[in-house]
Amino acid sequence: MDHILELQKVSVKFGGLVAVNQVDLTVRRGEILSIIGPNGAGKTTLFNLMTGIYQPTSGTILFKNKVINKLKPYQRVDLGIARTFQNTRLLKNMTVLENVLVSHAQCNKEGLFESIFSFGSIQRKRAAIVEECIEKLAVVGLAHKLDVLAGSLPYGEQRLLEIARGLATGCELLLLDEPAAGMNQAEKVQLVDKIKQLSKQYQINILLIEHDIAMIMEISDRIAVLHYGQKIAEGTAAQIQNDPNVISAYLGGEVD
Amino acid sequence: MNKKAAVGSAIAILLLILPLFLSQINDLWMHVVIMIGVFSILSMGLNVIIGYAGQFALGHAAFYGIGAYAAALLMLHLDISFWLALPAAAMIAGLFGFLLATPVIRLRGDYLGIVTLGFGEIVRLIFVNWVDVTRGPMGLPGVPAPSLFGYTFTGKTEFYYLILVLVVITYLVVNRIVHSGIGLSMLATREDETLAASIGIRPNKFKLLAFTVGAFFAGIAGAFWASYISYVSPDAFKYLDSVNILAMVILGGSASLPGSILGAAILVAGPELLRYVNEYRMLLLGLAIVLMMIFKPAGFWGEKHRKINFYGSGARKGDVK
Repeated sequence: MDHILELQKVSVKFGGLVAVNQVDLTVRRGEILSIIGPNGAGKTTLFNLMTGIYQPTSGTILFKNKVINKLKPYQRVDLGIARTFQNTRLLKNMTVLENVLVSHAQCNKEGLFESIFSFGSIQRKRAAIVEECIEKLAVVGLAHKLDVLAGSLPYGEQRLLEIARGLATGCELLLLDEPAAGMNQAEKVQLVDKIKQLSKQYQINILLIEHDIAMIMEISDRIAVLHYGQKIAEGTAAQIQNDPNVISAYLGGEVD
Repeated sequence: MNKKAAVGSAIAILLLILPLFLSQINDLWMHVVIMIGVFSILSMGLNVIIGYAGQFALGHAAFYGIGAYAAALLMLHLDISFWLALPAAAMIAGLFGFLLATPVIRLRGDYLGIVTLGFGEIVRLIFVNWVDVTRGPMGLPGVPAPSLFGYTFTGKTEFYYLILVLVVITYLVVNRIVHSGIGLSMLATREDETLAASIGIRPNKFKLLAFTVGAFFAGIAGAFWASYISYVSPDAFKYLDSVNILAMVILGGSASLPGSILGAAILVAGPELLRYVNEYRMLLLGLAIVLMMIFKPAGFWGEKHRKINFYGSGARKGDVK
């Protein structure tokens, strides 16, 4: 089983607008796959389809060979799909640690009677969860800011916190929606290292939307290009750079 | 930490010996203090719904009434003792909270407010019109007082200690619920439902839970009230009472349990203290709330007072400093 996620002829329509049109896409285990495309190409819509915020009008989405078309977002998280958002979405009035805790599966599935009546055992269980979450924060380099309110973090760190939150769900596939937006060059270099580390060291499959082409070329094992909701190319960085369809999508085609 | 413990024990001792002073002055203040207890339970319950889960519910008096009528009917017709009727009434109220919440949690904000408001009115109209069971506007007189080991509660002092115990239990239980993974998930649901769903939280589950817990404790308050006043009538569960409980939560500070108790104390004792200005007292109270909203919108004991980490200090010992 070397495909973790597979999209088969997936389309979604909003009224008359076909936002994603007959897209086939596979994420192989252990790779970093990037999705690029001009603005409005349907990249984020594709993410929303994978995470269950939208449901496809037609086509099939398979995760670990299981059809997940109809599953709700929280059910997909249980299966192992986590994401970050293009416009960071954090619980701004809560601390960094709380933001990660709340996405930990054992934390947000705590039982009512357990939390009212058990004392010693739950204290130990929570200590373990907290430790695990601090570990995830250490991976992205935020372990020294546990008690800071998430809303007061600088923009770049908010994005890192979103990644830590995704990790805390115990995901196997992490969807990053423009993780480098708003970061400076130094931060971007660090981010690339961290994403590579996640992929290699923690065996997390990563699917990435990004506009920074230099970063894409460096980080991706494969690249898929979307244009007007259709996939126009897929392949390694070198293949994509020379693909005539991609060049015409970004730079405009020749005039007939 | 020691200072906190000292303040805590001082408050505990004060609450324990309070009846000694108050009963010297007059019975009215004893009654006021007991009503503060009843409304503390109500506002803590509503705080779970509004403060933590962020569901703007306007019909809390309905659950209070359901608890009171359930306890009264159980004690009058089935001769059940108060100690069984209390949890039974709480469970019945909780069940109604669950049943109401099931269809309405799809609604948000103002729409939810309107539907819960309607629910409150429907429940009150049922109390008024279902004469066979509730005796309508005449109410149910003669609800028995609780008795313990053959000793029947008669004076206000006994009821004071009973409500004190109930408030403490409510505080401890609700405190454990909101300072847990459940509380964190409720807060996440309140802040951003889409986000909550994308990190594995099922928003509807936590909204339902909040309504059930809130209604459960309203049921406890209702059962106590029925037995304390020994008479239940629909007049006590009007729309205004729901608004009053809501004001307690907001005034004290949403997502803060001590705040809810403080809010209840202010809004129950305030009108009594202002009694000498007679017809202006509601006006003054309204003015106070408006000023409050302008200068201290987070309430007297707002969220900044909540523990910085929801897992409390216990789980964090020895961690990164």
